[in-house]
Amino acid sequence: MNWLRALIFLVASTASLAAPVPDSHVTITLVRWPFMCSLSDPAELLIRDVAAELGARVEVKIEEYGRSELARRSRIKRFPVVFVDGQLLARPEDFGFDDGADGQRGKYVPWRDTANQRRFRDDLKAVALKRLGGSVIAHP
Amino acid sequence: MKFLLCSVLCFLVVAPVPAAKDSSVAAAVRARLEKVQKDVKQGSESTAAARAAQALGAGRVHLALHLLEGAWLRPAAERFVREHRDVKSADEFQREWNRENALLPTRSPAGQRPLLLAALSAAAAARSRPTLAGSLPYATDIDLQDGLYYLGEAHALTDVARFYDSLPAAAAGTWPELRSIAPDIADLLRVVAAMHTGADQRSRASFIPISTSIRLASVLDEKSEYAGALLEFLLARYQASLLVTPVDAAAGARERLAAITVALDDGRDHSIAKLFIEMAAAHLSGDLPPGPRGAAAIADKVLPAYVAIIERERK
Repeated sequence: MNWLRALIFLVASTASLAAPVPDSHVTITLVRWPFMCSLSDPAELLIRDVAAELGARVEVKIEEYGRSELARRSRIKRFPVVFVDGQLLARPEDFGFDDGADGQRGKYVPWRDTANQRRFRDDLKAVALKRLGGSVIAHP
Repeated sequence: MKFLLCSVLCFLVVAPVPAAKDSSVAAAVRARLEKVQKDVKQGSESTAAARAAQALGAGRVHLALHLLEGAWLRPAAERFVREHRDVKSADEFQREWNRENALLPTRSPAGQRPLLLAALSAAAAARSRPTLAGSLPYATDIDLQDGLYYLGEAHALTDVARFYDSLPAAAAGTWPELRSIAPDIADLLRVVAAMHTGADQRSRASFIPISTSIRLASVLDEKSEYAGALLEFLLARYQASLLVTPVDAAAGARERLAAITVALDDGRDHSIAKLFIEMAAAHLSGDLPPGPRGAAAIADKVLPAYVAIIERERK
C-alpha cells in the first residue's frame, strides 16, 4: 500500500503547486547601476509608478549592480535586471545593454522610446497583478 | 519705509556681491576650479566650469561650490584612465581597485562646518563607494576600460568629498535640527514617477538626473546623513519643479525670494537654502538657464519645502 500512499502524496503535491494561491504581497526587485544611468533610472521610475498604482501590496527593492544575490544566482552580469518575486522579468539585453552585440534586439529596445517604456510598464503591471491574483510566473 | 526696505532686500537678492577680496573659501574654490579647467575640454563640464567661475566672480560662493562638482568629475575620471593606461588585465585592475578601496574615507570629519559643505561632502562620499563597488564587475565582466573609468570616477568623488571637508569655513550659526525626511522623499518619488509616465519622449530624459538625486537623497537618509539627504531632495524638487513652472510664474519671484530671505535670517545656518537663493539670483540676472522661471521654481517650490522641513523638525 506504500505505492498508493506515495501516489496520493504526489497527486496532492502537484495539485497544491498548480493551484493559484493568492499572494498578499509582491516584491519587484531592480538591479541597477548605483546612480545616474539612462537605462536604470527610467526603469526605476516606471517600477515605482506601477508600485504606486497597485498600492501597499507591492514592495520595491533596489539592489546595486555587483551586490545583488538575485543577479548572481541568475548569472546575469549586467544591468538593469528586473525580478518579480525572485523570478526574472527583464534582463539587461531587453533594455538595450550591448544591443546588437549578439544580433538580437531586446524586448524594449530602443529603450528611450516612450512606446517601449510603456510596454515594459504594462508587462510589469500584468505580471504583478497575476502574482497578486495567485498565478505562478512562467520563466521567460 | 516699508517700500524702501523691500527695495533694498530685492536688490540684495539679485545683486552680485563685489568680489573685491576673496574669502578663504572662495580663494580655495577658485584655485581648485583653475586646476579643473585645465582638464576640461568641452561639453557640459566646460559649461559647468564657466558657470562656477561666473558665480565666483559674482560673489555667489555657495553656487560655485555646487557647480564645481559638475565640472570636476568627468575630466578627473578621464585623467585617471590616462594615468592608468598600463592596466590591461583583470589582475592589474584588481590591484588598482584594492588600492582605491583602501583610500576610501570611512566617515565624515567631525566638527562644526557650514551645513552646505557637510551636505556636499556627504553626497560625494555616498556616491563614491557604490561606484567603486560597481567598477570591479564592470571591468571584469563587461569592459575593462569602462571599469577603469568608473574606478576613476569613484576616485574623483572621494577627492571631491575631501576637498569640501578641507575648506576653511565655520558654520554661520547653529545647524537647524535635521531628522529623516524619508516620507518627503517617498512622496516626491511618487509624484516624479507619475510625471515621468505622463511625459512625452522629448522630456523623459530630463527625469534621469531627478531620479538620481532622489535615489541619492534616499541613500543618504538611510545613512542618517540628513544634511546631504536634504540637499539632494531639494535639488530633485528644483529639477522637477522646472518641468512644470510656467514662464509667467516669474512675475513677483524677486519679491517672494526677498521675503523668504528675511524669514531665514534667524541666526541659524541656512547655507543649504543660501545655495538656492544664489541660484535664484543667477536665474534672475540671466547667468543661469532657464532664467527667471528657475527663480520662480525656487521661490515657490524649493524654499517653501526647505522651510517646512526645518520648521517641522523644530517642533
